[in-house]
Amino acid sequence: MITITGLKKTYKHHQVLKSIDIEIHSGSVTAIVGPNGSGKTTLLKSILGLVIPESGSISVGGSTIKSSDQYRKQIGYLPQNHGFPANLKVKESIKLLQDLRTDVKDYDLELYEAFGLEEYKNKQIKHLSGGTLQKLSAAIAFMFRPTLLILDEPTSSLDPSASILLKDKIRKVNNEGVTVLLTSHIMPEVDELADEVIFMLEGCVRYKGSVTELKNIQETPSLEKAVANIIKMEFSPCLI
Amino acid sequence: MSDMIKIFKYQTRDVMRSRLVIFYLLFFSLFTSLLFYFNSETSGVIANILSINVSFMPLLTLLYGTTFYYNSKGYILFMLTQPVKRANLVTGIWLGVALPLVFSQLIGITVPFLIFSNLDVESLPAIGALLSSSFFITLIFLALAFFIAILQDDKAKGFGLSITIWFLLALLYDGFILGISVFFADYPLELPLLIISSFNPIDLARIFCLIHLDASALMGYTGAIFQDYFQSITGSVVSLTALTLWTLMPLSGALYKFKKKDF
Amino acid sequence: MRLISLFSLILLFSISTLASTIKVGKSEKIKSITTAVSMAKPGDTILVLKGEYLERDIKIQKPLIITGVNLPVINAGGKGSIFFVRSNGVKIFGFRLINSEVGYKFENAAIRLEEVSNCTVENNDLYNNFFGIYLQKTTSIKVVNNVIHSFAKSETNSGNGIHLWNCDSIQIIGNKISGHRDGIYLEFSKNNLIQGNSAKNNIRYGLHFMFSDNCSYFKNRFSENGAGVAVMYSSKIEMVENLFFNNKGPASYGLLLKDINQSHVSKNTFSGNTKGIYMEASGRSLIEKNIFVKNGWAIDLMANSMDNQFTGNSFYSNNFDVATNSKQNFNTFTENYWDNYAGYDLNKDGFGDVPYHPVSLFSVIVTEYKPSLILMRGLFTKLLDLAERVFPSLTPKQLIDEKPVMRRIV
Repeated sequence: MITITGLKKTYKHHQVLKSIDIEIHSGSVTAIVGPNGSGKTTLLKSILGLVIPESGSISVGGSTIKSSDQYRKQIGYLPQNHGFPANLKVKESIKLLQDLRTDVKDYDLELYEAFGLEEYKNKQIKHLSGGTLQKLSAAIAFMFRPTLLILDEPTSSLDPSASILLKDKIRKVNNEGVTVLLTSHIMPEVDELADEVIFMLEGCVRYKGSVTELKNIQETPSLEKAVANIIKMEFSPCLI
Repeated sequence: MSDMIKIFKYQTRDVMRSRLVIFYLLFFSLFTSLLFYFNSETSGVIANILSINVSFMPLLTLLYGTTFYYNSKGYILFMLTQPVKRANLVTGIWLGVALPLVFSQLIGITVPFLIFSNLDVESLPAIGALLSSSFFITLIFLALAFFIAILQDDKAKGFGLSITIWFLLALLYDGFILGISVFFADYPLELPLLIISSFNPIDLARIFCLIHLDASALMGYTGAIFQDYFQSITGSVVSLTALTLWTLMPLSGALYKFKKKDF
Repeated sequence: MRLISLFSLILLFSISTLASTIKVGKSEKIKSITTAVSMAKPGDTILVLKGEYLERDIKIQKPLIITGVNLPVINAGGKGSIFFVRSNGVKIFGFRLINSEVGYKFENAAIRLEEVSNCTVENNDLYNNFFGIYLQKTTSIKVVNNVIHSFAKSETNSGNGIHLWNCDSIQIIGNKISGHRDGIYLEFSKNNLIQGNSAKNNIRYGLHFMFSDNCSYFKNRFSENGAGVAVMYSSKIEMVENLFFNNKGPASYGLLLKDINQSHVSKNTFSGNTKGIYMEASGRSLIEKNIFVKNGWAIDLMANSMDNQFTGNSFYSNNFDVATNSKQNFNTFTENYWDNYAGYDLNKDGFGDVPYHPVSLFSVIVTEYKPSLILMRGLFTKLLDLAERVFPSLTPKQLIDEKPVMRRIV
């Protein structure tokens, strides 16, 4: 689904991504983990086309992302912070995206309904709580039936029940063949959702492989401990 | 319908509900009505509104524009993950912010004129020139504000830059022109000064409006030269073209930087 | 035979004592005005019926009343003058007088009066003449309700609408004059009254005084002339309730006062002029209760003017209130209304508590460096003016209104 080769990115003399090579297979659920500043956000943004790579190539669904912005039609993105004009109503925000995405007619409104967003449809964005905004963003990520879901800290500001609904939805679409790429600080959540994990530190991929394998190597049933163990290990820079 | 127009459409709807639009509407209608109350002369009213347009409006637009951009970073970022061209996104948002602001100013100014002034044909060019100065000042300084905010991610620095640019264009530049007219007093300066003024959108908008105000006809020989220039078809075409260029310059700067920017 | 001679004697007597009326017309016995004038007796009335008469240089040397019926036209055909009045007591009514000669040797006019008194020129329509009505060394003449229009292109080849030279006690009332050099021109003429006239689109001045003392002009309208009114080298002029409107151009003004003394400018309206009043070397005059609105400069006061008093005037919507060429001032401004006044009136006596400086810094700058006019109404000049008002340094310190009125004087 996603192929990244030799991806480098430097911000003002600080190399944020140091030659990343990753292959993400269709139908997988991959979690990118790592401490703040490890480069995971920049990696996600590179895939989304928000950050322009210094070198290397990224292809999504077979087409390189430099060629056009149309590859983004495959992607459903759930950002950490919401992205709607403050004075628009909920239904207008949705309508705006629907107007732009004329390629999709059959919207996936399952999550929208499950979150009960219909009752907020006439409210302005600025009057919504953080949780509701997150629900709205999540519902929109699924709405246009993407083949690739990119979720940035998906449950961070959701209440437990909404969180469960979202995770169920993620599993459901994954079972239908949708590739999922997510970041999270919550290791049990990663453990629960992901089958692949990419561990990043200081702009490098320190580990990439299946979650089960990682646990086996580190000889612990807890993913959290396994990850903690990797951090403790002394690596020479950027080698796996 | 192109993406730009769709984005523009929803942005307009957003900004139409913003406080500044309501503030403009109230401020300009009250201010204009008060001017009519204290000063029944249409030309005096126009001149006073013009003073606002060329002093505080550019600053207000710059500060509003940069604040708007900083507050809309989440929206802009999300929209960039949609299948939309970057240039279409910025242009759509820029127009979507600018036109409601222009609209509320025009309504705020025009309605009191319709109510209080006996609109004679003679004052129509001046009112037209005043409204076009409002139009261009808003478009130009909003484009400048976006340019600044795109260049400068740091809010405080963005505001600092806005205020500096305002200070340069609204004040310092005129000081510079005064300096020239004092130091080169022995030379015929009318045409050189007209050209120098054209490099400052505030001066350009102000002079364009003043000339149509008839005020310059009252200003003796020098005023007559300025008026001859601007009231000729060539002068009007040149100054409107210059104002359009002044709109396009910061906009294309903003677009250029936006296309290359990491978010 | 005796009877006949007696009868003719009586007839002769009656003609010489009782005025008779002579009719001139295309279908009358007398077809020429010149003929009628020559055969008429003093005191006769000549009635000229409707029609066009190609006549010129009609010399009137006896007191006659010459009346046009239904506006007959006398066409000089571009040669000479039309009426030349050389007798007292002549009255000319109701003619349309056209095409007198434009010339440089002789000042031709539609009606010319020379060394006469007690004449009246009324209700005539003068069109395309060199001079309209020309009065030389005359006294007690009435020029009333005439319409005088011509097509002056330049000052050198055009004449004045009504021209007075060396006259006394002339009344010029209700005339409309346009397209001449000066609308009304007075030179070495005294005790004249000019009232209710309109002078528009004349290429030099609407009204022009030279060395003419003790004159008054009331309720006239001077618009769109090269300059409105020029009063020069005269004293004791009363200027009341006139309108000076839209007299604009590179060197234009509503009212020019040059070497004027002991005059009175009152209740006039100056609107839309490049300069409302331009005052030079004039003194001891009272300028009161006038309205100055929408002028480039309301008043341009040269420093060689002194002891003038400006009071009870209203200044609003002018680009500049007062300009001057010096830091000195020997005139008084008091109790005027200034729309630019930003002071306050704490004791509520109707007068501002701080004086007003009518000469702004920008006005001083523009006077000195004319192209800096391009900065007009900018924020920069506003701040300059504000700073100057707080710390005056370049503007005349004595030129202040100590008691500015808070509300507009209507």
